Amino acid sequence: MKRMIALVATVLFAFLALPAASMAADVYPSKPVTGVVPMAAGGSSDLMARAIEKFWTKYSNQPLVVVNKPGGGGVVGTEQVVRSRADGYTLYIGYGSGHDVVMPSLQKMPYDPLKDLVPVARVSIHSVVIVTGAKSPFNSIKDVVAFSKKEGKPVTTAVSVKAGAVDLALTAFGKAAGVNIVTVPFSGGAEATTALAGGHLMIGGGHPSEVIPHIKAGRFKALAVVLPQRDPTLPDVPTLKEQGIDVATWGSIKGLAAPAGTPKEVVKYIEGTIRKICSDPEFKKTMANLNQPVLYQGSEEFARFMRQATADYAKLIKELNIKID
Amino acid sequence: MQRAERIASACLVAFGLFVAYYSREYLKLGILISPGAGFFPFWIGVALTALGAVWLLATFLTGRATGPAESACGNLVLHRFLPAVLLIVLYAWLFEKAGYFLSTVLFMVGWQRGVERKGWTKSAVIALLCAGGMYALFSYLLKGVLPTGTWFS
Amino acid sequence: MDIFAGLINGFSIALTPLNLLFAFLGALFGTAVGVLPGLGPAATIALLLPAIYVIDSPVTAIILMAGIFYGSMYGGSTTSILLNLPGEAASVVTCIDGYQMARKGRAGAALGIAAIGSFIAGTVGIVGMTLFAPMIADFALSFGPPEKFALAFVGLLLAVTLSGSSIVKGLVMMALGLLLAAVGLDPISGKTRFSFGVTELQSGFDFVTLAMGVFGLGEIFYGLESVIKSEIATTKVGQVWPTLRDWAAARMAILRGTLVGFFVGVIPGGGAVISSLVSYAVEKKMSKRPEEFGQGAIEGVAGPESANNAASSSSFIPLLTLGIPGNASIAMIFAALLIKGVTPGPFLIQEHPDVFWGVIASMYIGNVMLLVLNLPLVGLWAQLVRVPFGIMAPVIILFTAIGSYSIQGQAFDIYCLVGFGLFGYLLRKLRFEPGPLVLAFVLGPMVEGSMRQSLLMSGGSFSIFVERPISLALLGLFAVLALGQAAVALQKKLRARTNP
Repeated sequence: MKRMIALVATVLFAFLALPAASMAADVYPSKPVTGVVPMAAGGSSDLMARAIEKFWTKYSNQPLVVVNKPGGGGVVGTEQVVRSRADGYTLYIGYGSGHDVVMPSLQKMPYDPLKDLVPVARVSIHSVVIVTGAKSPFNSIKDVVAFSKKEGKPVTTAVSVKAGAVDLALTAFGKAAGVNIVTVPFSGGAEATTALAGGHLMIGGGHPSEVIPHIKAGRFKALAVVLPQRDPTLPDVPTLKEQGIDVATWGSIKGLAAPAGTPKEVVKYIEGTIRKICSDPEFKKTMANLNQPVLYQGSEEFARFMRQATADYAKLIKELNIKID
Repeated sequence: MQRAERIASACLVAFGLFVAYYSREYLKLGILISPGAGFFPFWIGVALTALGAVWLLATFLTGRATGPAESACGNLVLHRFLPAVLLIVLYAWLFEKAGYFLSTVLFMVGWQRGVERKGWTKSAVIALLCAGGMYALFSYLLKGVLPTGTWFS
Repeated sequence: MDIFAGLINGFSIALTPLNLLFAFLGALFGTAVGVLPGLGPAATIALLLPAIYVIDSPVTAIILMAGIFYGSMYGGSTTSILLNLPGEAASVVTCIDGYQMARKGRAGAALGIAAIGSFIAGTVGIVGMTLFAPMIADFALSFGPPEKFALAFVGLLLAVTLSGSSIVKGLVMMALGLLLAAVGLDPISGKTRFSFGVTELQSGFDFVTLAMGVFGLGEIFYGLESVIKSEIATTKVGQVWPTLRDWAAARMAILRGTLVGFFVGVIPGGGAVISSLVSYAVEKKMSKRPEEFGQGAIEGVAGPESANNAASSSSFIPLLTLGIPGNASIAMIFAALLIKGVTPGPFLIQEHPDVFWGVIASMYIGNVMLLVLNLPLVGLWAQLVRVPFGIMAPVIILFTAIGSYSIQGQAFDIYCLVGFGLFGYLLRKLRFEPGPLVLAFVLGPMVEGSMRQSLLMSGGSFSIFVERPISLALLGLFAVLALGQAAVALQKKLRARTNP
C-alpha cells in the first residue's frame, strides 16, 4: 500500500509541476514569437534574421526569438513551420531562398512553398555577384568570355550548393555567353568564397554579404551582378545585361512567411512591424554593415513577386535543362 | 565466440554487397570527371565486402577467435539489459507526447524499479530528485526547446 | 601598431572589472556547456545573441563569447574522461585513454593533466597568434580542395592506427564511419543519399548522437551485463592529483601537442579533430611503451588535449585577420560582431585596435581563469565515478537523450541514440574499437567532398593531387606512414612465425 501511495504521489507531483497551460490570448502577440531560420547560424539569412530580432522589440511588445533549424538544404526547417500551428507564433525567416523558388522545379517537395505558406513581407534580395581573385587576369566579364573562346579550357567556378541560386546564375551566364563553365559546389557560400579567396578557382559567385568583405580587403574583383538592375550594395558593379549578356536572376530572396491559414490581422500586424523595422535608419545601417540591401515589399506585392520569381526560375531551369538526376 | 564472429562477418559481406548494389543502381556512379553520388559509397560497399570476407576467412584459419579471449560472450544478463533498452525506447516515444518532465520521471522510476530492483518509495524519491534537478538545469539553458507534451496542450 | 604597445593597451582594456566579470561568466558558462552533451558552444552563443546585443561594447561581447568557446573545450574533456562521452569531435581521442584512466581510479590525474596541458597549450597558442597571425592566415588560405583532401586522408589513416590490434577491424570501422557520413544530403550532386524515404534522415546523422551512442551508451549497455558492477571505476579511486611521474611523462606530450594543434588548427574545417588525431599518433610512435596506449597512458590524454586547445586558439586567427570563420562557433562570433558593427578582417587591427588587442589580452586572462576554475574541481569530479552505477547509468542516458533531442528538436534522434548504443554494445562484444568509426564519420565529408571538388577542378585528372606542393607533401607523408605501418605489421608476423 505504501508503495502505491508513493507512486501515485510521484505522478501527481509530476503533473502539478507542469507549466500551467497558457490562457488563450485575444490580442496578438501575447507571448514571444519564434522566427525559424532553416539555415545554419552565421549565414546570410541568419544574420538578417538576427538583425530583425534586434529591432523587433522596438516596435512590438513581445520579443522575436530566432531559432536555427538547418537540414535538407532548408527543407527541414521550413517544413516544420508549414506544419506548425497557424497562429502567428511560428514564422519562417528567409522565405524566397533557393529551396523555395528553385527546388520545386527540380524535385518533389513535401510542401508547396507558394500554397502552404503566406508571404508576409520581403526584407531583402541577395543577388548573385560574379567575382574573381584579385590576382586573376580577368578584369571584366569580357575577359572571361575572351579567355574561354581563345583557350577553350573550362572556367572553374566556385558556387555555394549544387543547383542553388548561385549555381543557376553562373550556369545561365555560361550558356548565354558561350563560356564553358564548370561549377564546383561547396557546402555553402562561406566555404565557396574562402576557396576562391585562396585562388583555387578561376571565378566564383556569391551574395554581396559574402563577397563584399573580400572585395574591400583587396582579395576579390567584382565582375558583374546578375540582377535586372544594379544592386544597391554594389552600385559600381555593372549587371550582366549592361555588359551584353542577357541573363538576370532574382538571386536569393529573403522575406518572412507564416503557415497558410494564419489569420489576416496577425499577418497585417507582422507586416506592419516589418515595415517599421525596414524604415528604421538604425536598421538600415545594421543591414549596410552586413552588406545586405533593404528592399521592403508588403504582403500582397510580395506574394505576386514570389509567383513571378518562381515562374522565372522554372523557365530558366527548363532552358538550361538542369536536373538532379 | 567464434560462431558469433562468423555470423557477424557473413552479415558484413552481405551488407557490403547491398551497399554496392544500391549505390550503383540508385545513386549513379558518374564518370571520373565528375563522380556521382554513388561513387564513394559504392567503393565503401566493395571494401566492406572484401574486409568481411577476410575476417570470415580468418575465423576459419586461426582456429580461435581473433583478438584476446573473453569468456563472457554468452553472458547476457537479460533481466537487466532488456528492461533498460525497452525503457529508453519508451522514453523516446513518450518524450514529445507526455512532455519532458513526466517522461523523465517515469523513466527514472521504471529504471530504479525494473533494472535496479529498488523499492517503490526509494525509486520515487530518486526519480523526482533527478528529474527535478535536470529540469532546472536544462530548462534554464535550453529555454524553449524541451516539449511540454502534446497530450496536455 | 607595435605589438608590445598593442598588448599593453589590450590588457588595460581586458582588466577592467566589467570585462573581467564577463570573462569569468563566459568561462563558467562555457564549462557547463562543454559538460552537457548536445548543446555545443555554437548553439549556446546563438541562444545568447539577444543578450549580447544589449552589451554596449563589442570588446565585452566578444570576451564573453570567446570565454564560452574556450570553456566548452575544457568542459568537453571532463565528460570524455569521466563518462566516455565526447562532447564534440575534438574530444573523441581523449576518451580512448582518458576513460581507461578513470576506470583505473586515476580520473583525477587525467583531469588534472588535461587542465594543465590545455592551459599551457592555450596560452602558447595565443602567444603564437599574437606574433604570427598574418602569416599563418595566408597559410590557411592556401588549403584548397586538393590539400584538404590530402589532409583528411592522412587523418583517416591515423584514425585506423588507433584501432589497436587488428588492422582489418580498424578498416571495417573506418568504412562504416564513412558510410554513415554519406547518409543525407550530398552537397556536390544535390541528391539525398540513403534516406530510404525517412524525412528525418535528410540531414544525415548528427555527430553528437553517434558519438554519445557508440561510446557512452555502448559502455553502459556493456556494464549492464554483469550483475556485480556497482561503480564505473573498477578499482579504488587512488591519488586524486597527477603525480610527479605523470608530469614527467606528460611534459613532452604537452609540448608536442601544442605545436601540432597550433598549426593544424588554423586550417578551416577539420582543424581541432585532425590535430588531436595527429597528436595521439605522434605520442604513440614516440612512446617507449606503446602497448600502454588504449589502456590508460597519460600521454594519450596530455597530447590530444593540448592539441585541441592550441587549435581553438589558432582557429581565431582566420577570423580576426581574414574575416573567415573556420568552424560553427567562430561563425557565431563572426555574426555577433558584424551585427555590432565590427567587421573582422584585415582592417580590424587598424579600425578597431581595442577590439583586437582587448580580445587577445582577454584570452590570456580567460585561460588563467579556466585553470583556476577547473583544477579545484578535479577532486570533485573524480569523486563522481564513485556514484553507484544504478543512478549514474540512467542519469547519463537521460542526459544524452535530452542532448540528442535538443539538437534538432525531434524524438527521432533519441531512437538513433538507442540504435547507436546497441551498435556500440555489439562492437564491444565483437572486440571492435569505436574510435576509428567516429573519426571517419567526422572526416568523411571532407575526404569525399574535397576529392570530388578537386576532380571537378582538374577535369577528372588525378594529377592535381601531385601537382600542388602541399597536397603532394601530405600524400607523401601518407605513403610513408602507410608503408611504415605495413612494415611493422609484417615484422611482427615474421617474428611470431620464427618464435612460436
